[in-house]
Parts: sequence; C-alpha cells; structure tokens
Amino acid sequence: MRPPPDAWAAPKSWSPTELALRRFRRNRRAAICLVLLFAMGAATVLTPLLSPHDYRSQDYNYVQGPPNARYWMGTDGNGRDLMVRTFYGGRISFAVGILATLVSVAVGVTYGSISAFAGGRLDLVMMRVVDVLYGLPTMFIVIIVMTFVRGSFVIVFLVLGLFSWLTLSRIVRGQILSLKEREFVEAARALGTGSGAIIRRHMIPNILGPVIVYTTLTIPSVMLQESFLSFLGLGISEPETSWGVLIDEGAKALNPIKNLSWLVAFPGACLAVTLYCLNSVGDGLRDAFDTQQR
Amino acid sequence: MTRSTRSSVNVLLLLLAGCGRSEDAAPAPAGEPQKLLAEAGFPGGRGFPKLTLLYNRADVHQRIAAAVQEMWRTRLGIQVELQNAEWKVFLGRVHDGDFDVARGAWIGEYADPHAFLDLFRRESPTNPTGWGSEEYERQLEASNAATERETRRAALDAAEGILLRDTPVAPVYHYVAHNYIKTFVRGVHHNARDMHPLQHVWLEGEGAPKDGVLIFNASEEPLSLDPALSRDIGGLKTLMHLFEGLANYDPKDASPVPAAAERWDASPDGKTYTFRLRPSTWSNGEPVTAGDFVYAWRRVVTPETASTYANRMFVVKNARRVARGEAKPDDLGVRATDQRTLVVDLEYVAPYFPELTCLNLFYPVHRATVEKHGRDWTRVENLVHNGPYRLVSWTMNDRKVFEKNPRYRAASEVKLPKFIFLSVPDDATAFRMFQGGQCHWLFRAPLEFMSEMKGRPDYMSGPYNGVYYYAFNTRRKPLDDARVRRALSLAIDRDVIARSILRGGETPADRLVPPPSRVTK
Repeated sequence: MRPPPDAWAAPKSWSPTELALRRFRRNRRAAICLVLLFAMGAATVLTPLLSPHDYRSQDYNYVQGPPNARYWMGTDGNGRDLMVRTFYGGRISFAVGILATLVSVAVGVTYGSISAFAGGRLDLVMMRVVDVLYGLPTMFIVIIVMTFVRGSFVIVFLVLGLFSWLTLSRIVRGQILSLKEREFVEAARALGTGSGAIIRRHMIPNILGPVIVYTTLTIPSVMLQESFLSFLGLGISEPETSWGVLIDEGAKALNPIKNLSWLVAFPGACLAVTLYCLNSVGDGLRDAFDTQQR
Repeated sequence: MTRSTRSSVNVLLLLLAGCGRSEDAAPAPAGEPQKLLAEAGFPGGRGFPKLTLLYNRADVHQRIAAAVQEMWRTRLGIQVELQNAEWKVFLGRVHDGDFDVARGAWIGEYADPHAFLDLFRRESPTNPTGWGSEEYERQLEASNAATERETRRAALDAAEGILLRDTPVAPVYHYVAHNYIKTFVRGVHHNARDMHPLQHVWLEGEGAPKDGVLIFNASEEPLSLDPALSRDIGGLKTLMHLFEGLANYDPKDASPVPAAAERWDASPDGKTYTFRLRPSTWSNGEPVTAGDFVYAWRRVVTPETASTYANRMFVVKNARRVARGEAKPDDLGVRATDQRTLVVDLEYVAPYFPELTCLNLFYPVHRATVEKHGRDWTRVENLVHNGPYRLVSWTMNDRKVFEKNPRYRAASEVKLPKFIFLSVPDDATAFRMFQGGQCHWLFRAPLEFMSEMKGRPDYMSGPYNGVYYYAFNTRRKPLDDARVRRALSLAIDRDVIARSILRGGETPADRLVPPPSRVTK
C-alpha cells in the first residue's frame, strides 16, 4: 500500500481508517447526504413525538383533505394526519431496512469468509448450498414463511434479512480468495505477520468497499420488499404503516378525476431523499475505503 | 404490531429506549357499550385479549376495518389486529371458523326478511359464528308455518329482535348498488338486486366499440361454475348467462319473469307450484326436460354433492331431510309429470318461491355430462348448458369470454353477441381502465371519487338488497359472551362509516334486514 502524499508531509502517521474518513469528509456530496440522512432519521423519531396528532387518530370531518394549517401534509382516507404517519412509517422503513441489511451482512460475510478460508470440500458444499438457495424464488419462500409465522415486525426483517445474504456471501468469498493470493498478503506473510493482523490490516479493509456498496443497495431493496409484503397483508398491518405502504396507498389514489397527489408526494419524497442519500453515502464510503483506486 | 414491537422500533432507533408511549388513551366516558364491557368483566377493556379482524383485500373493507379498529380502541380500550386475505382464502377461513371477527356481507336472493334471517340459523352453512338460539329457530319455524301475512311478519320481526339482542353479527350498513357504465351501453336499468341479464343489453352511440364486445369487470373469479356449488354473486352473474332457470330476472326491476318455464301456477294453499316448460335445447342439441330439473335439484341436496349453499333449497319439501341424510334424494318434493311439466311441493308457504328459481341452485343440469366427467364437468370444454351465452375461453385471473349460444331457445332475441368478464380485483386499476375505455362497466370504484361521480351520465346508483356486517366467532372467548358482542356492536359509529368513508348514499344499519326486503310481500 502506497501512502498518500500528504502522509509523507505530516509527522503523525495515519491509520487506514483515519485516511478513509478524511477522504470521505472531502467528498462534499456524500457528507451533505450523511447529514440529510441523520436529519431524516431524527425527523422520524421526533415528529411523532412532537406533533399534536396521533398516527392512529381519525378526523372524519377532514377525510382525504389537502394540506392545511392543521394538517401540514393533508389527511388520508381515514382522516389521519399524513405528516405523523409519514414520519412514523419512516421509523419502520428505516428499522426494517437497516436491521434486515445487518442480518444479511452478518450472515453473508460470515458465510463467505468461512467458505473462503476453509476451502476444499467444505467450500464446495457451502457454495452449492448457495447455488440451491439461488435457484429458489426468494419472494415465494418469504411469503410461505410469513404465512406460517404471521404478523410480527421482528419476523419481517429477520425473514427478509435471512433471504438476502446470498450475493454478499459470494462477493466476500471471491474477494478473500483473490486477496489470499495477492503479493502484499504474501509479502506480509513472508515478513512473519500473524493471521489476525493480516485479516485486520489487509482482508477487512479490502472487502469493506464491496460490503458497504452492497449494504447501501440492500437497504432500499429491503424497504421495497417490505412494502410488497405489506400489500399482500403479510408485513406491517394497520394502523402501523411504512413508506412502502403509504406510497402504495397514495399511488392507488392517483387518478384523472380528483387531485390527491399529497398522498403519494410526501411519503414518496421522503423515500426518494433517503434512497438518494443512502446511495451517495455508499458511493462516498466506497471511494474512501477503496484501497485499489485512488 | 404489538406494544413490544413498537418499543423495539424505538429502542433500535437508539433514542427512545425505554420510554415507549403509553399505548392507550383513557376510553371515552362510560356509556352503554362501556357498561356492557365492564359487566362482562373487562372494565375499560382491561384484560381483554387482542382481537383479529379478518377481511378480504379491497380498499373499502380496509378503510372500514381501520375505522372500526380505532373506534374499538378509543371507545372500549380493545386492541384489534387487522388481517386481510385474498377472496378465496378469506372465504375458506370464514367457513372454517378461523377468525375472531370477520367482515361479511349478504345480498338477498329475494326481497323478504327471510332471505337474511335464514342465514344465521344454527345449521345454516352461511352462519360462521357458531351461534344458535332455540328461540330464534322457533320464530323462524313459526314464520314458515304462518299462512297469514301479519303473523308471518310478526314472527320474522321477533326473530330479528333476537338476533340483534344476541348480536352474533353486527350489521354495519345497507348497500347501495353502484354502477359505472359507459353511456353507449343501452338497456340497463337500476334494480334492487343489481342483476342485469346481458342478453337485453346493446351497444349504441358515441364511443361504442366497433367489435361490439362489452367489457365488464367482475373483479373476482367465481368460486365454481357448478350451479349446485356456486354461492357468490360473481358466480351467479356468470352462471345466469350460461344457464337458464325456470324464471329469470326482469332487466327493469329484477322481478321474476318466465324463462325456461313459460308460466307457473300456485295451488290455492300456496304450497304446490306447477311449472310449464318451454321447448328448449341443451348446448349439445338435446332437449331440456322437466327431468333435468328434477335431477339437478336432487343433486343439490344430496349430501355427496357437499353444497354449502343447499340450505337455500330447504323451502322444497323434504330438502332438509335429504341434506341431513334422513331421506333419500328421490323423496325430494319435485317431480316431472311429463317431459315439460314440473311440479314442486313446498315445505311451507313461500311467496318468494318464483324469485328463488332465478337462483343458480335451481338451474337444470345435463345429467349425462355430469355423470361422465364428475367434478370436471364444469371445465370450459365439457360444460353443457342451456343459457343465452357460451363460455368461449377462461383465463384464470384475467378474463372470461362469452359468445351468444346459437342453440339458446331465444337466440334471435339476444341483443348482445359477445361480452367479456374481466377479473381486475384492484378498484383503482379497474377505474383507470374504465376511464381509458378498456373496460365499459364497473360495479365498484375507489371511494375517493364517490362525491365526483354523482350526477355523471355514466354513473347509476340506487337501493340494493344487501347488508354489510361483522360476524363474531362465538366459539371463542370472550366473544361467547353476548354482552361483549353487543358492546363491540354498539361501539361502531355506523354514521361515520356511511357518511365519511363510503360517501355513496349507503345507510347506517341499525338492523339486519335492508330496506328493499322490509315490506313483506
């Protein structure tokens, strides 16, 4: 690894992580998006707490009303405040997206690295298992599982997480297999570096990039899968909500006769901003941690 | 989602750990429902188990369920979980008693309180609640036995009173028939059964499709094409075009008019009907005989057929006993005195009997076909029928194509040569298709447009002989307690549902029987 030029100038030596964080901070777009993402997260937590409306309470004198001074984002078909529901739904979307992705990353990285390090017959068996799981229609299995263990929110992200680690395990395995043969790893080994240090100094920084990119891509896909499950009546159920559910309801209300666009515009905008920020932050992190391309 | 789930969301967001908001506002000030609930041992809803509310997947049911969920939460302090299911799954679960509270609805087959009250008799397969009452059975038997109009009506009123008191079901609202029909579809009239035999309809005027094919969205697939098994409106709407019963619905007011029978006479005591058949043929060219009706009706009540709708035939003499296995199918009170004369003996006086014969249960079936193919006889390629149309093709969950049946007895009077039933379950999608002209007729539209549709030339509505209700599973605690059921029923603000959610002129239901059935004929 060639240290960056400014590292020569500085008397202090920089760890790879510190270097990565410096590079990330210099990426203005990613930094702004990270701030936005935190702001969105804070809004989903704070709005339902601070708003005078409850996400469940229904005002039948103002059903599907446009935004006004009382209901800043309008109301839905049951006269519920859309603003509280949007941010309340954001909590669930965030939670499902992040937790399912964590589950999938944990399983995927562990599985992939075990397979790569073990090699030989175990590797063969583990990868054939992945092949078989690949062959099964994921959503179909998720639906079957959800039918048997109904309802709970915990089940939603566990199941979604447990069915989306396959690609990651292959990526991790491939990375590690190729890294094992790389010159710098051989050099480190020749210098007598221990396995733990090699994993820490070389393996983890090198697989971090792909894992981060994969993570930022999985969060939105899981959010969308959750909305699909909720539509089928297997995910989140009334009066709870999520962005996927709100957008689905809002999109159904779009029509050429009557303008109900706020029903889809607000939750849609929140989801769009979040996904954009996640992707930008992911790009930023990948560039920052990527040891190959500078 | 449960309380633990919600707090887990908060915990996981790292900011709200441990400070989950108190789940419930204090229930509204005590009134009748709160008092009843407290008497049953659940003051303020404390200790009440979480209820599930089952409905089939459609916006309107979801909207109403969400409203009722909130009413029960704020007024009674009861937690309700909503569950939605696809139509056939929903029907299966309701039939198997796999629910706490389920949405239900019934469209009366005839304009008489009996059509609704008979649904909730103890043995009735349309009664999913597990509820039964000696008193109720007695009143219905008394109404059947009554020969005087006034005694009959008094017995039916008394039965309804018992039903409302015990509340195995909570009526929510009475239906309004909505039809969204392109203006080039002619010859359609509003009627309280919302039955529109399409052979009387024609297409004419601006925008009429050049191929002359009418496209109707039936929303759901029929459960069965077997007249003995079909028990849904979608099934009846399909079957009434493939088969022809003794009588059929008048397109103007849905009253029974002669169809396969050219006329009928009732005996002076009203317990025997004699039908004289018109000469007509099956779609395979064989003549339709009185014997085909006898065979079909016996088949309906034979236990092996396992029709869950057979109770609608119990008006025919001995039908109940045959269905219970206490009598042979041959004992059923129907006989063919010659090729074209059918004599029916009734168990009790039923002024609505001719109307009942419009129903698919009373259609004739072709014996040789049924015996040859068994359960498969209703497949498109096997089906032998006697109605104005034939089924050309059926693509599941997409469309059914009907064409004029050239062997129909009055084929020259069939005005519409071809039509299509779509199966688009999503109201919003269907409505967009209607707007775009890919569909010409809907009977349901998204609730959003209710206020916009009024006064439009392509919209038609009026009273409909149907009731929407919530059924309680009385086999399950604590719904086995009538006070609990009554409290739940009283806590539903029907006015809000009719006025603010449905917005289409539906009336809040303070009783089961809808207005078109209240005047006993």
